[in-house]
Amino acid sequence: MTKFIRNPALGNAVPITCLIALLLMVAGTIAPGFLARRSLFNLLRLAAPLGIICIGQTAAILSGGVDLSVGSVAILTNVVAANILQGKDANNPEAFAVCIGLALLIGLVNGLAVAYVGINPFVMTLAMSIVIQGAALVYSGGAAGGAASPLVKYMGVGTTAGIPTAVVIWLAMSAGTLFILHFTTPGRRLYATGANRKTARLSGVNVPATLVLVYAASALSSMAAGFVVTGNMGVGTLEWGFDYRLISMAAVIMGGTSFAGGQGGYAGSFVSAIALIVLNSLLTIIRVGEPVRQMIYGGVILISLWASTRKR
Amino acid sequence: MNRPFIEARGVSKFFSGVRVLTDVSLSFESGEVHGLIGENGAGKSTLIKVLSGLYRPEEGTLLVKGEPKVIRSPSHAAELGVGVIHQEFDLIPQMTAAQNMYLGREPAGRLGVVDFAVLHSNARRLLEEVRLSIEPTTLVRALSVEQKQLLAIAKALSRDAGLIVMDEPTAALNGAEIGRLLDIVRGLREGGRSVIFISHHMEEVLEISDRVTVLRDGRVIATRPSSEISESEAVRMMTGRERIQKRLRSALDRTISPGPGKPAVMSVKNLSHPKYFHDVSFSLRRGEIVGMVGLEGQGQRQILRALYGDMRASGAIEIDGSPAAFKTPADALKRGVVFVPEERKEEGLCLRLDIEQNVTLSTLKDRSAAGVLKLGRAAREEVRRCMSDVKLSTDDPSRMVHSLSGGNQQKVVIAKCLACKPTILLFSEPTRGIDVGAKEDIYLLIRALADGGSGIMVVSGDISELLLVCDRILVVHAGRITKEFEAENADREHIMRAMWGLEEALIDPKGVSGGQ
Amino acid sequence: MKERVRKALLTPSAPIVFITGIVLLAALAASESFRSPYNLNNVMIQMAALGLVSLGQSFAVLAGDVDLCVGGVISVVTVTAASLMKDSLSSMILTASLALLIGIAVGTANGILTSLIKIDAMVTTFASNSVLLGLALWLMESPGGYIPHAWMKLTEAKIGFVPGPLLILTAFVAISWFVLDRTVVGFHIRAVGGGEQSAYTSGISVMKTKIAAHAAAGFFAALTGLYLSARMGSGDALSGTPFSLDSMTAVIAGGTNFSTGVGSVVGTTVAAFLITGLGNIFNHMGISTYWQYVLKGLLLVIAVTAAALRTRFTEGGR
Repeated sequence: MTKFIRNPALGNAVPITCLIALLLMVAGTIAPGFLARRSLFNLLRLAAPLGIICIGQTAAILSGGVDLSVGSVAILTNVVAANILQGKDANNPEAFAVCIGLALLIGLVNGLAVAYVGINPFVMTLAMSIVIQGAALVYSGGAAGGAASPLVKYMGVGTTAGIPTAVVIWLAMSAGTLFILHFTTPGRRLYATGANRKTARLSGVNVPATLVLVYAASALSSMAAGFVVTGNMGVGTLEWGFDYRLISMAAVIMGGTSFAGGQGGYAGSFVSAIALIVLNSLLTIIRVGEPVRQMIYGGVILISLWASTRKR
Repeated sequence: MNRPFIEARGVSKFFSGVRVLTDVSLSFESGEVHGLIGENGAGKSTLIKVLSGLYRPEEGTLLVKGEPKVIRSPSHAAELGVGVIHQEFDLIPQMTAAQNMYLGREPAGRLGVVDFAVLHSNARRLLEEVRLSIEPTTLVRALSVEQKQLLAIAKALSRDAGLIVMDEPTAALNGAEIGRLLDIVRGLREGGRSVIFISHHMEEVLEISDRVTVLRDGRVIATRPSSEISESEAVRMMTGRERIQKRLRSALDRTISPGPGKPAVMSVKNLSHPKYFHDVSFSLRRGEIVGMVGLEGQGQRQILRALYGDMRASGAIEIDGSPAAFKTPADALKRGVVFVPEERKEEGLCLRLDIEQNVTLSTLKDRSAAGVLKLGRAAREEVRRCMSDVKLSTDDPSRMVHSLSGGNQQKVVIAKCLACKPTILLFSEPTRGIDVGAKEDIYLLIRALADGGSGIMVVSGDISELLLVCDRILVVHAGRITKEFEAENADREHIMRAMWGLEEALIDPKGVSGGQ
Repeated sequence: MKERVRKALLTPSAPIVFITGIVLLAALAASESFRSPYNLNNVMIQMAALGLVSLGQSFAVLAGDVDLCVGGVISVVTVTAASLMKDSLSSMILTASLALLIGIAVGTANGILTSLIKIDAMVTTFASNSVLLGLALWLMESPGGYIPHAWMKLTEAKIGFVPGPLLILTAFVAISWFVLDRTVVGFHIRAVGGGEQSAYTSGISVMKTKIAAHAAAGFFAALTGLYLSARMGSGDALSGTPFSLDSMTAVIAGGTNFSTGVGSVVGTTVAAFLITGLGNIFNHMGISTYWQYVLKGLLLVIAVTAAALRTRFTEGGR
């Protein structure tokens, strides 16, 4: 049992689960309705896009980099998809094809720049996020329109076997992620690349290809999150509540994945995404405004960074 | 002799529970050159780091000019008069010679404005003292290695250091340059300074030092006046190898002799690199262990990397008679060539991952089907077998590599290579910084691999090590293979001369000349 | 003389000066509205803001870090100024001093954090930036507040035909150059940026030096915040957001390389001028602000790519 808890791939999953329990207890005391099944499902539904984005962010940070373009890829997906769909299922194939294409393009450019040109991933993806934001604005002319198709709406707000579809999608993607990270060769190569690039190369790992794959996967996961959000909101919009760049970074680091690379895993990020959404709702209940929440997310990153430095 | 400038009494230092210095008591006197010798990992650099304030000892005291002091940091060490010239020189390439010399203690007027006139005139004076004829405004990145070495000495002098520590100051210098350096060291002694001189080259140390201290496994073995100690005696004290050697000799006896008749597993023709090596040709036979030796920076390491596809080079490499052009290490691995790099923490291991993840890293493809890893009982047994093949001290594959000792870490690197079932193994400094027991294991392992039919190359700076394990030894000088020895009838002195590129005529005629 | 010319052409800031010159000449020749004295005056006033922050950013980058927190400082300062400043001279002086203190304090905290958390300074300062932006929004949700008329007048001052802000910027460029190239602190900042380990073993306190560099970044950001509050006549919690990225672009495009300790504030200033000027030129060409986002991002990518390639060529790969 202790061996299981100490498994490094779990990161901080166990303590953060305890934290969630604590937060839920507090929230339940303040607002008794909070712990109702409906309300909890709703929380998970809200956590789904963040959790899905964290898949890519975890991979990027595990590889020794970071991806700050995640939020803008989701926004771009939302704007483009809603515009193509116009509320009709007939347009689904086109919307998915275009968005997957865009995500692959973005991920490829990020990955190639980081792996082959040697640009600092932080700078590269930050610049990319600005470019994409601009592109989303240009595409929509500053006023996004369109509407989600029934299928996409089903992804965002529907339920499957009584569970919100968004959560089902998230769980399925999470299972896939954990499988790839821990039971396949690309997963092993990713960990080795993050832990020590030189060793990985000398051991026969194709490091640049691994990095390109990481950033492509990250863009694709952000795109998937973009579809879930589109279904949730029903329309294309440039007004998003969250700065996903910041929150996804907060969730991943809090979950125990280290910026040093090769350390941690998705389990911690998964749990932390839920914890941050619970925290967010709790703060909403006690009427803490968005500005303070933003300060808290920043603080969470700083504290987690500090804690991970001390551990070493 | 004068009174001690600095004295260590019973100093011990631990790293995560492992003793790296044990009860070291030594004194360094003013007007004395004190030689410090020992093998890699004997504790020389740890001792220096203690003196320079980078490490703080857990036990014992340091006395500076008779007063007990705790050296808190490099700047504190400088204040106390300890100047250290590290092997990497600690110079900043983008800054000028004068700026580097006075880094951290620039002559400045009010408001911290640097007084360039004073800076440059002081710098010029010291540059003259070490006979380095460059302008103080020259950028360090434009200097040669020798010039950097001299500049580093000038930097130590600028601190008005009473004690100057020189860590391998001659490693990158040629004969004439070394002569000049030793003259400067003598000048320092006459000026009443205390000098600690560290070198792998015994004769230099014995020539320049007044007293010599031998360190082994973190302990002081002896301190003697240089005139009363012979080279061979010093070597024996350093290695403590007599007894090991006797035991190993029989075990390492070549069971099959890889005579000239055996087929070459790898042959190299005219391998050249514009910067590091030229026209390198040799062949490696099945069951043979070939050593490659040279002074630091002569190209021997780069040759090994070129063979492994980690460095581009022109020329032809053939493996089992068919051409092999490796663009990346991955290509080399596919042909059964593996490489154990000299920097195991930097290049050999993923320290933050566990043993299993490290051992399987080069063989992921064989351990998976359609990209999915086989992680069942059989696979785990396979990993355990790799671990026991190299006599790893633990049998738990989920143990983190960073928690292992240096020797066991090196065994993990070797286990990773063996998992590839290699036909050619390239070792660079296979026993650097590891304990005697692990060294023995690795020597035996290398011999066993050769007996099993693999071809093996070992690059090492430790001649005795090569004499012990190799069948043939190639000497690399200035990027070329200049001599070839049969290990049976070679000795340290001849190899050493060849390494220096000196006195061709004195070489034993039996040593066949290389570079065919 | 020839040698001098050759050396000048080889400095890292030479390309940006060259490019800026061409862009400027082209714009002057092509656009009548761009070359109007009113507009040129405007460009120069506009560039003072980015110029000042970028000077501060130079200190951080030369010390081997990047300070992404400058935008947050600017936001907090404009909001503070618009909340506290009254018409009296003493109030203006006090508020301005407080603002500068905030900048220096934040910079000091960043310096300590980046030395303690030995991970990319970008991540830590990115996080502290979001804390500051949140703080600014919490203090003032929507743009507003009060800025005294006299304070606003400061930006309109002129000496001859030269706008006051440009003079101030020039003065600070000179000061920054002096500090970085002529004083002990400047030497130490470059030494830490060029080789942290070497600097440490030479007896330089890395932490103190990083604190000094980040404090300078914070100071210049606060100065920019004060200047912006005067120009806008109000406080705006979002006014700082673009500056973290833009200042980084200016410093890198200006020829300062990550982790070499080499680079000049003159190059940085010229790059800041180019970035501001391009925005102005695009406006005159009727290119939408949306496109300008895209171009800004691309500009940063081009600058870092050029820097990466330059390092590769000068150091020579395998």
